[in-house]
Amino acid sequence: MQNIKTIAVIGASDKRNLSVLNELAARYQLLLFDKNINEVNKIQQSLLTENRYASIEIMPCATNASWEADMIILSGFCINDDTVVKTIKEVATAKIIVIMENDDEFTKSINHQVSFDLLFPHSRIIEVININTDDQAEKEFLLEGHDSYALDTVSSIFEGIGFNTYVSQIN
Amino acid sequence: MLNYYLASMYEQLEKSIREKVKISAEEFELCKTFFIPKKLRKKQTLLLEGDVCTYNAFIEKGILRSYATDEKGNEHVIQFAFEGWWISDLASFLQGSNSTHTIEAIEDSELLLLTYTAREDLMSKLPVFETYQRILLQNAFIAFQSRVNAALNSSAEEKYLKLTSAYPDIIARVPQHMIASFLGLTPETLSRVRKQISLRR
Repeated sequence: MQNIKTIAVIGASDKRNLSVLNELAARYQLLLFDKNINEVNKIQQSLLTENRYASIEIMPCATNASWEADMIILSGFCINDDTVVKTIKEVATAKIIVIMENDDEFTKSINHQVSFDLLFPHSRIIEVININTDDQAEKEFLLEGHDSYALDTVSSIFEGIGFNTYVSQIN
Repeated sequence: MLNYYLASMYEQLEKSIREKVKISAEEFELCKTFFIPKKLRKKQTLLLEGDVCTYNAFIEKGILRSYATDEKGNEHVIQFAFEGWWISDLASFLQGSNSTHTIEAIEDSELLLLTYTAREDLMSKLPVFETYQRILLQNAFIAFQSRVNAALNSSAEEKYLKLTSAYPDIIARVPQHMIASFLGLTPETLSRVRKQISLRR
């Protein structure tokens, strides 16, 4: 039996990541945070409908969610939100931060030349890019990052929940 | 309020290191970057028996216990760890073997976790941290010897008095059956010992 890991999902109301959260909820304890309370409530209900016995909790604060977590997922509006980044930075030291980049955020990040490695200098950043947005097709993700341990960990989590991954280690 | 908590996240660790070695402010800032801050709720586990112990945990706030479970399902408490203490299954952590202990939070706790690789990196970058770790291991070995001696030579009452004088908080914060297990007594025997002590007073 393995100790159940806790994952904080910051910006949890982004519906594009619902299929990923659905699979994660079956195996991990999820702590959801989003400024939009109504939307995050809907996401929680939707996840609980699919995973009746899962541990899925809405957290009132991004810092506490990230502090309690073993791994942090940043998604939706939070990716480009300075306030959120500042509030979780201190408690994200040495942790894996997964940046869920969908089309919009990916473009914005490039446009703003956001370097997550500079924003979180003491964390292990993995950018996850959904490369197959067709809902009917099998999900495939490109994982990019510098840290080989973090790449292996995130890849095994995504593969473990049934997704295909392609790993790209940046030097 | 949250900023206050964040500012005190490394307070006990700094105190623990400074009690044993000299470390500059810059060195401590570097040291902080190797630790994973982690909150654990009451009754949540950090390690399950059979898993490999991946963290050496420093307790900033709260109490943890490590225990082993026998074939009958009885739990035997091996260690309590309070604020300013370290806890892990050392053999599993250092050798990568399967753990024989479970580590669980007795209270909501705040921890600073160090992986094996992070510990090695930190010791090579900061020799003063290696000295600190050596002193900790020495102290742990002395405490272990003292515990074995007490188990062989002390009465139930002596063991209880020694524990409560070293850690006066323990009675208020740790359930009695866990204290009994740690001392190698049944809860009934511990209750009798406590009664005898209070009657004498």
